[in-house]
Amino acid sequence: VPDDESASLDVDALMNELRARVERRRAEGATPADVELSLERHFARLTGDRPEASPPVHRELDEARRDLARYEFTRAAFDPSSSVPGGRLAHQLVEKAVARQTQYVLDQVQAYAREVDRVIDLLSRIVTTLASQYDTRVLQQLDDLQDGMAELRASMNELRRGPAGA
Amino acid sequence: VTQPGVIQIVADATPADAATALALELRDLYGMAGQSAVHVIDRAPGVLRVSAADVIVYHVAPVPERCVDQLAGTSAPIVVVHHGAHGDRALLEQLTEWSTRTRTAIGTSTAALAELRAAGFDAARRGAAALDARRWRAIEPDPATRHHLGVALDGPILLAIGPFRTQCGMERLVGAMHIAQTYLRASCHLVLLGAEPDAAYVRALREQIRELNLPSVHAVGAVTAGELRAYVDGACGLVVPDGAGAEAGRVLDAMGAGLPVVARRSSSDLARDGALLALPDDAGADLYAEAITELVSNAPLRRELARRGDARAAVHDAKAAAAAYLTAVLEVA
Repeated sequence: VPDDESASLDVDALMNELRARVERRRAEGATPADVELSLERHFARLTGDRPEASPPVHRELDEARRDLARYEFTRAAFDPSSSVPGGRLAHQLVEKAVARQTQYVLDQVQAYAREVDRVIDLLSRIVTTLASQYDTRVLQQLDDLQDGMAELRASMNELRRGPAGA
Repeated sequence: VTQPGVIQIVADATPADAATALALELRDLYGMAGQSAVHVIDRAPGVLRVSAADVIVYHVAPVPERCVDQLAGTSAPIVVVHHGAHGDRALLEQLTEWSTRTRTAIGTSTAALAELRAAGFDAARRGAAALDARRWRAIEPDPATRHHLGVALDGPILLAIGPFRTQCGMERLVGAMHIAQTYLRASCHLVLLGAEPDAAYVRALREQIRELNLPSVHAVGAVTAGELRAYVDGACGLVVPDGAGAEAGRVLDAMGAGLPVVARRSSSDLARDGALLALPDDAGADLYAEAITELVSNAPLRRELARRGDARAAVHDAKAAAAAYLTAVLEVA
């Protein structure tokens, strides 16, 4: 738009001219016909789901497992208090009467809990090892691969562009 | 706010963001009648001190639901201000949910108004950019940024302003720069300014810039008002992709600062009278590339667009535009 014509600039006409240029370049092969689609796909790939690192809860997992291992089932937790007159005594008598059976059940539960704890311990060791390998090796290798691909793409685009000012 | 007043809720505030600027302008307006404050929500929920006697003006944004849970749960009356969803389904769904909470809503563009009505706000009204169009000129430019631009960036500079989040369309501008430089031999810089609330999107955008090997595209991120002014002074144009949010305010800001604007036609009512290089709504990266190339290589075009934009900004009446926002608050108070 020359200076003396700028005041009469018709933006709509200019826009039509720009659109015509786009069509002309496509028709002449000066720009690839699918360049927009290619750019869209490229960006869609970049925004695609990326693998996430394992949640940073290893310390909490260890602490929870230690709490579980320390847990003791005991009759001492029994609370005989009652709001009914004489209720406390009645509860204590019942507790005494079934003490042997209760202790037997508690011992079984304690033994079962030890087995459960052992299983959880083994599982958590496996999961922690896998997560550690995944975080420090697999993800890092994926990042390295993506970096390599990015460098290759950048080089290809630079080659396609040719020497500056050409 | 210790006494009842108007509390505006804004997401991802940044000086370059027109939604933030509108909230600050309205804060002063509401402040003339009583207590007025702006509360910024980020990626994580904050504690919002609000009483039933307050009025909340929520500038709807695509933030995680947990950030606005407390807001939705208050009994205070709410006015929704919508800056445009641009195809963001989650935001449109959020709007529909808000329509069951309040009936009072304002759309800051024709497209935003249509989205509000589609979401169930039958009585939604149109609110123009209640901004001082000359506000960028009043800011003192940051000397360090000005110096940096002078020595580090050789050639014309175009600006694009965020916030950068999914649906903002910045990847289209990056694609346009790839086409302009690879096939049209254009030589210019594109500087991306603004908050980066969507880390995954920004990471993909930076990766795109790197893989396309575009050292002339600079993802700067959030800037201060002084830095923004320095970039505006050093730039030869503003390019607005679709869906960047609050475009009308940003276009007005640029016009008021004498910056030529390239934008989609529907992104701003200011596209009338040839005041900006208005691209059709289906404009893709290739047409943006042509427009960018034309703008940076055609000085008379830039001068004329700047002159028309400046004239358009000169007749902008911020007070009249603010009336809709004041009326909405009075209605629900």
